[in-house]
Amino acid sequence: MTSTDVVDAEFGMEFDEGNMCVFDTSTGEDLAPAAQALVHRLFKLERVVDGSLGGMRVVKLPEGVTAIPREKPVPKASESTKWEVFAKEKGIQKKKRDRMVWDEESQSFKPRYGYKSRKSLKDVPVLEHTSDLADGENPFTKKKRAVKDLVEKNEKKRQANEKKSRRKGAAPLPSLVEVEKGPSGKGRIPQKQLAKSAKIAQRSTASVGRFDKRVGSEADNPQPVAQRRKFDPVSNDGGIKVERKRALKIAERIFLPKPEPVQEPKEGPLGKKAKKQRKKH
Amino acid sequence: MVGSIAARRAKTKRGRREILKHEPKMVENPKVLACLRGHATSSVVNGVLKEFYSLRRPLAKSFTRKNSIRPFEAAGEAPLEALLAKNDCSLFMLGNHTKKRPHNLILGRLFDGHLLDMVEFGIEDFVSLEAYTGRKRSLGIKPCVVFKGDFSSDPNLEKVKNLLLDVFRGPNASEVDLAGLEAMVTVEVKDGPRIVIRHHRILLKKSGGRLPRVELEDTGPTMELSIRRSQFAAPELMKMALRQPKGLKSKKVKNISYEEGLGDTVGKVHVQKQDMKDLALRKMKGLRKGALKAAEQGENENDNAEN
Repeated sequence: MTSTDVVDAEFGMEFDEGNMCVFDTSTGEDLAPAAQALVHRLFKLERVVDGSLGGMRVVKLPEGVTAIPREKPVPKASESTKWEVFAKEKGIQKKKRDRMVWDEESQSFKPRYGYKSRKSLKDVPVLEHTSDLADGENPFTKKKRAVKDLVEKNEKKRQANEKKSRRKGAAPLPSLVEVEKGPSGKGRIPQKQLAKSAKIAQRSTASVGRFDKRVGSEADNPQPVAQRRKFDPVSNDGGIKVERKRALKIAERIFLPKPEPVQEPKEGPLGKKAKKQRKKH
Repeated sequence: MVGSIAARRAKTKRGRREILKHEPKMVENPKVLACLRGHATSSVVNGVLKEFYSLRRPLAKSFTRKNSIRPFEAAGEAPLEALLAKNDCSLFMLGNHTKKRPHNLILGRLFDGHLLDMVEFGIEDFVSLEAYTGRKRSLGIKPCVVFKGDFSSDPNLEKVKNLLLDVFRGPNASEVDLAGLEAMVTVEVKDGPRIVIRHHRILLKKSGGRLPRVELEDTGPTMELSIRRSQFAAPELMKMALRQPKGLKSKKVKNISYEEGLGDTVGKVHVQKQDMKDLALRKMKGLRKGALKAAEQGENENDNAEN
């Protein structure tokens, strides 16, 4: 097939190989020429060279030409953490560190952190009482506390980073209060709601707020969640009395005639107006 | 997003993974087609829904219950959006049947959980794929699509074309096996405008040359569609939907080309002009600086001696 033949065969056609699609504007009823031209175009695409394909003839599809809308918007890049900003400024590059490190003391490879790690104090029988320790201070507890402090510090930083990078329009954190828009357009929590949610928060601990620290104007006694159920005494002397009383009350309500409601004298046609005028004088 | 699961917070790890699957991505999931029934349907509409579902599987979901969804009415798209968001579908096909609009098919798509565009068709001359004998299309295959006729005469027709391509193009693929080129959809526009949709099987026959001779075999379903109501996206919204992420477009590869004749990859190497000035050559006595002078002097001395 010569190049002029190809031009003739593809007359009035536009191709979008990425979408395996052809737009044939030529007149004529037959669909086969367009189909043939498209298949030939696909056959001429660059082959994928890969031994694992065996005898398969696989071609690479180019990107589609026809603009087709996405189903969801382009994701926003998450904000870089404080460390990432710092590292970029300083030109620090991430390096992969080995998991196992040589430990001089035990003359063996040990994990850098975690179970059975070099840092583990589990197998350390004795620690030196260094000069930075106070009198009587336990070096073991000090080391343990240092690790705990570090974990706490990292967690705080992680939360700060997360807060910073929380996307606009993302699902908000569950809140007890609904923020309404104030006149300035900023979020505003109504006073009443705030008080209500504070009350809920107060009794949301395991001790129902009994042992919580109070801040400033916070009420001292959180309200009880529910009242305890009270049962009538079951003993012969007290119980029967109470029961009889209650039964009588019900019987009265059913059998005794209702007292007629006392009708208040209606106000005359002048009614309120007259009253008002009287007040004025 | 209306009623989408992304608006909720997951309580379990599995739930979180599910939400992640539905989140916007750089490289998107292929669009899933929801085949829905309206408040009343006809056997023709049911057949069309069923067969479009079977052709697009596994990128399709079939809903067999009736839904009183009327997306063209005021605020009628809300229940549709909620249902599709819940199922993470962005293409939909809603069939219904009324006296006013018999054998009705609404085809549309969503962007960001909201309706982008939709077109209503009247189905005529529907021939089910069961009416055709022969091999049926393999599951999950990417079909070739042929658009025949002048779609550019009407800007709305261009939009319908784009929508139909979105529905028919099938899964995203960066590579295809040529032996797997077996399905073809043809969309032909005729006066009216009417749209004829046909499905074929591609038969690759020997041609004597390197490229095969293509024959088409009708597999069905076949139908003729008349365009009824339509609702297209506002230009700004469409612009937003068409926006592609920065890093996604592959860089143009320079100096490496592919020759289809023998299937060779050809590289072009640009060699700069060599600087001969500092070329380190073998040093020779005769080429040393001042060697000429010394030689001349020597000759003069010889001459003098001869004289």
